[in-house]
Amino acid sequence: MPEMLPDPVQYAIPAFIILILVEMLIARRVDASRYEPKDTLTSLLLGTGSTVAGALAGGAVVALAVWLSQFRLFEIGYVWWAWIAVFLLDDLAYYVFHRLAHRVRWFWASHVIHHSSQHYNLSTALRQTWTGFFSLSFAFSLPIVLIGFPVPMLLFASGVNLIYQFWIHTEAVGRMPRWFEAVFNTPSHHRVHHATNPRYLDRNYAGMLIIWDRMFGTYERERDDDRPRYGIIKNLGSFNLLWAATHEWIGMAKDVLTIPGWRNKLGYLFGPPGWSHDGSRDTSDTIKARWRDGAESE
Amino acid sequence: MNWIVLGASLAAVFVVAAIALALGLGRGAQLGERERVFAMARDFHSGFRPVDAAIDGNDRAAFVRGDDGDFVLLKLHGVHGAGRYFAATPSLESKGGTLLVQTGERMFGTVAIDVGADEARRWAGKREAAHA
Repeated sequence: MPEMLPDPVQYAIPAFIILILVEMLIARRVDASRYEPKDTLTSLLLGTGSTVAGALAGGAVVALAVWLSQFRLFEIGYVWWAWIAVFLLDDLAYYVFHRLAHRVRWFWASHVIHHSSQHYNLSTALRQTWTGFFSLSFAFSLPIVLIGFPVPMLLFASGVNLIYQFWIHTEAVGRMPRWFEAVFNTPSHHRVHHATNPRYLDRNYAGMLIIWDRMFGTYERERDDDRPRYGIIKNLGSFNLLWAATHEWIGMAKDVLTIPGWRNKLGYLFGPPGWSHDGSRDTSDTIKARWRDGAESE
Repeated sequence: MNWIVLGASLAAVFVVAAIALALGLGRGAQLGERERVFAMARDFHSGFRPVDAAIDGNDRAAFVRGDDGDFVLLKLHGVHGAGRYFAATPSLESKGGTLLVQTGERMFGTVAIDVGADEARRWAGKREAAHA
């Protein structure tokens, strides 16, 4: 087992808490509806649960990465350019994972937890999945190991990426300078990502760099005349912790067990969220199409 | 896993939530007037064209009828509205002055809308009319 680098997330946690408290004070002055105590409690407990799940499964993921590294194509050490490359590749892998997490129900079942709050504040950033290991979301980073980047270097880059994504979950920051908005993911870009407005659905998958969305055609800018409404298409209407963590898995299991036909079952597992064999449910594509039709007829 | 760290984390979580409560965040939410309820229903389901609404006397829930014979149910969840769309009339019941709308979802629950006895009967009658 290679010697590990420090986990940057552990060191960032006190700053997370301080910044949440600062944001609460801002909300009290500007808009008290930005926070809701029960929602905050749910988000933070989901975050704590995610940490526990990560601790339980993390060892297995690291062991798998280390085992895979024996098949690496190149021998890349801790050279300066490797750090830049690993940050870029890890961010690209995050983009790919994140895009699939919104387009494939199997991955969405795990990721939906993060979107299940109707609030958009720093506590939402900590509302993280309990089932990421089960949905195999870690697999998207493994090609970086196979290229030959050291596993500790990749884990460190992933940690920094996670920390970066904390501060963008806020309404307290409007827009950053234009050059920054052009390159980096920002609160404005990520508000779009968390919005359920038809215009914003399935947009801005970036982790640290918004350039991936601009390159791959999934970028949408935040508009002042279409303020984001946060949450999911079918908001839970409940603060129940276990329901928030598992509702999509339960829904998926029910669909697979009750709907006949293998093609249908595969559709419910790996089709886009909202897919149904009889077309009775909404996917983001059908919602967007209906919205576009409505806009054209007006 | 370090149990002391986990215990301290859980304690910190409850302290932060308690601070949000002490700061008075998220209080006094309401769905609002008819036009706002209509706008929320339109936002909730793109293409929905509201024509009538049963709005709870305490502004905590609303049942909105669309011009296609479809419905949007809204209930206050924290400070925001959570909704459900029905392409056809869902199960409705009038109980005293309350209209009960059943979503068929255990976790979303049955939504009670206090609209007065006459209105509750009128809305519950839509279900019977639809099935007549």
